[in-house]
Amino acid sequence: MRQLDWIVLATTLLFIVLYGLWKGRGSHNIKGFLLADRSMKWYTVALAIMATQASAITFTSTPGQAYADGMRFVQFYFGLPIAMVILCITAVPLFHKLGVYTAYEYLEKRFDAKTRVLTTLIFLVSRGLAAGMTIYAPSLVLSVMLGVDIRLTSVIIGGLVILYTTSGGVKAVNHTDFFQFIIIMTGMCIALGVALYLLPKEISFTDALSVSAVMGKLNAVDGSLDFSNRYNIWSGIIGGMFLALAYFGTDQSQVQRYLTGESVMQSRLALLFNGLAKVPMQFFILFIGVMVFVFFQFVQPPLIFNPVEREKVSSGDRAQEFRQLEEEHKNLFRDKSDQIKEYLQARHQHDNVRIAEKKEALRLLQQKYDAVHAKASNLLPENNHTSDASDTNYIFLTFVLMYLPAGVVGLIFACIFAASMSSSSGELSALATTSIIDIYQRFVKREASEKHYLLVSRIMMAFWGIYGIAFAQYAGRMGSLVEAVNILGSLFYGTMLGIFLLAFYCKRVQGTAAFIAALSGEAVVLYCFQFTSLAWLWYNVIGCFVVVGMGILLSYFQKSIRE
Amino acid sequence: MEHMNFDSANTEGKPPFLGSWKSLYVVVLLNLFALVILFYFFSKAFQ
Repeated sequence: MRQLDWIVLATTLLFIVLYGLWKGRGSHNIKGFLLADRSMKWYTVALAIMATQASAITFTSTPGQAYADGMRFVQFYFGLPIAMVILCITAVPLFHKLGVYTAYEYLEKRFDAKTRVLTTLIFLVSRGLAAGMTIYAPSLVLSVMLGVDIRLTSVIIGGLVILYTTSGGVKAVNHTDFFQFIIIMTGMCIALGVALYLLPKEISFTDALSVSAVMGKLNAVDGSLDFSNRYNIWSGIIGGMFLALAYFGTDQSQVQRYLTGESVMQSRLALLFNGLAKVPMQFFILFIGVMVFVFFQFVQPPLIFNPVEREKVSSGDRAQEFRQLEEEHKNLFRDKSDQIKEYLQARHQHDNVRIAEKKEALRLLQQKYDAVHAKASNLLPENNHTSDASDTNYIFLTFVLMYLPAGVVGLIFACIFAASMSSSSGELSALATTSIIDIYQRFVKREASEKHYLLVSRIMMAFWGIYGIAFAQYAGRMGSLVEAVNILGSLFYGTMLGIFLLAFYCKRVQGTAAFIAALSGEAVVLYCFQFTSLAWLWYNVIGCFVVVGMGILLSYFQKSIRE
Repeated sequence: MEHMNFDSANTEGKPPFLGSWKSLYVVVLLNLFALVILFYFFSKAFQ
C-alpha cells in the first residue's frame, strides 16, 4: 500500500470510531444502550440490517466465490424477500407489541424458561462462533497486507470494535452501520468501475460478458432439482427462505436491529427495503468477481493468490513440483488468452462454426487450468499441514492490491474494515443483550439498578469481543469464509425457526413438547451434517420441519395421556 | 401465555407508500420475480 492508501484507510477508520463514540453518547440506561430507546427511523434501521448482514466476509470472499464458481451463489438470496414479507406480517408486530428486548424473552412467555434458555444457548454458541469469523476476515486482510501474524491483526480489529460498542451501545452500532454501509457501496462501485476500465481496450463490455458466459461464470439461475447441488433456484427459494426466516426472525443480531425502530411501521419498512435491495446487491458483488475473472483472462494471475502460502510452498520441500505447475499454468494461461481472442474475433464476424469450435476449446482449456490449480492447492497442505488451502478469500484482495490506483486501494480496504466492524459490532451488541436479558437478569440478578445492568452490559460486550478474537485464531482453517459462516448458521437456524413457528402457530404445543422437539431437530440436523451429502441449505428446512412435526406429535401424546 | 395476534398487523397504520401494506408486500415479491426472470435471461443471453 502507498502512503495515500494509508492516509485514506486511517482517516476512515478514525472517523468511524469517533462517529460511533459521538452518536452513542447519552446512553445512560439499559433501554437506551440495548434498544436505542426504540427511536430509529426506517432508513437507519434498513442500512444497519444490511450492514450487519453483509460482513467483510461478503466483500472479500464473495467476489472470489464468483471468480471460482460463477454467479450461482446469488440464488442463495432468492428466499430472502419472501421471508421479509412473512416477518413483517408475523414477528415484527408481535415483538413490538410485547415490548421485548430479545426474541427469546417471548419464548418464556409462550412456553417456559427451559425452552427460552435452550434457544438462548443455541444463539450464543452459533453467533459467538460466527463473531469469531467476522473478526477473522479483516484480520486476514491486514495480515496479507502487512505480512504480520494474523493473531496480532485480529486483536487490533476486535479491540477497535469493542471500543465503540462498549461505549455507545446499539445507538452507536446502528449509526456507524448506516455510515459504514455507504462507504462500502461506494468502494465496491469504484472497484467494479476500475475492473472494467482495466480490461484491454479492444474488449467491450458485451465481450467481457460473453467471455464470462463461455467460461461458465454467468450461471445465475439453475433450475435443476438436485438435492446435493448447493445452489439452485429451489434450494435458494425454499432453503434460503427458511434460513432468512430464521436469521431475521430468531437471531438476536438481526431482531435487535429492527426492535430499535420507533414503530412497527419503521421496522417493517426497514425489512422490506432489505427485501428489495439484497438480491441486486449480492448480484452486484458477485458480478465484480466475474469481471475480475475476465480481467485475469488477459493478465496472468498467480497460480496461488495467497502470497504467504505461495511463498511457503515455493521455498518448501515441494518447491520443484510447484514450479513445474507454475510453468504449466503459465502455458495454459497463454493458450487460453489466445483462444479467447480468437473466440471474440469469431463472435464479431458472426462465424457460428468457429464460435462453437472455440467454445469447446476454451471449455477444455479451463478444465485443464482448474486441474492445475487444484493440484497446486493440494500441494499446500502436503507441504505444510497447517496451510490454508482455500484460495477464494485472496482473489479479490490480490486484484485490489496489485491493480487498483493509489487512494482507491485504501478506500477498498477501509470498506472491508467498515463491513467487518459493522457486523462485529451488531453481533457483540446482540450477544451482550441476550447474555444480560435472557441469562443474567433472568437467572442471576433479577433486581438491580439501571447503572448496574448498564455496567454488566458493557462488560458483556467486551467479553464477547475477546471471545470472538480468540475464536478468530482458528477460523482460517474452515475453507471459504462466506460459506463457512452460512453452513454454521444452517446447523442451528432450522431448530430455532421451528421453535418460533411452534410458538406462533401451534397453540396446543406446550413447553416440554417444544423443548424435546428442539433437541430432536438439532440431533437430526447434526446427523445430516455428519453422515449425509445433503446440501447445507436444506438443513434449515429439515431442522424446522422436524421440530414442528415432533412438537405437534408430542403435544397430541401429552393430550392423550392426560385424557 | 402470549399467542400470535395477526390482527394487530393490519391496524398498525398505512405505509407511507402505495396505500396499504398488502400492496407493498406484492411489490417486494414482484420485484423478486422480475429479478429471477432478468437473471435467467441475462445468463442465457450471452451464451
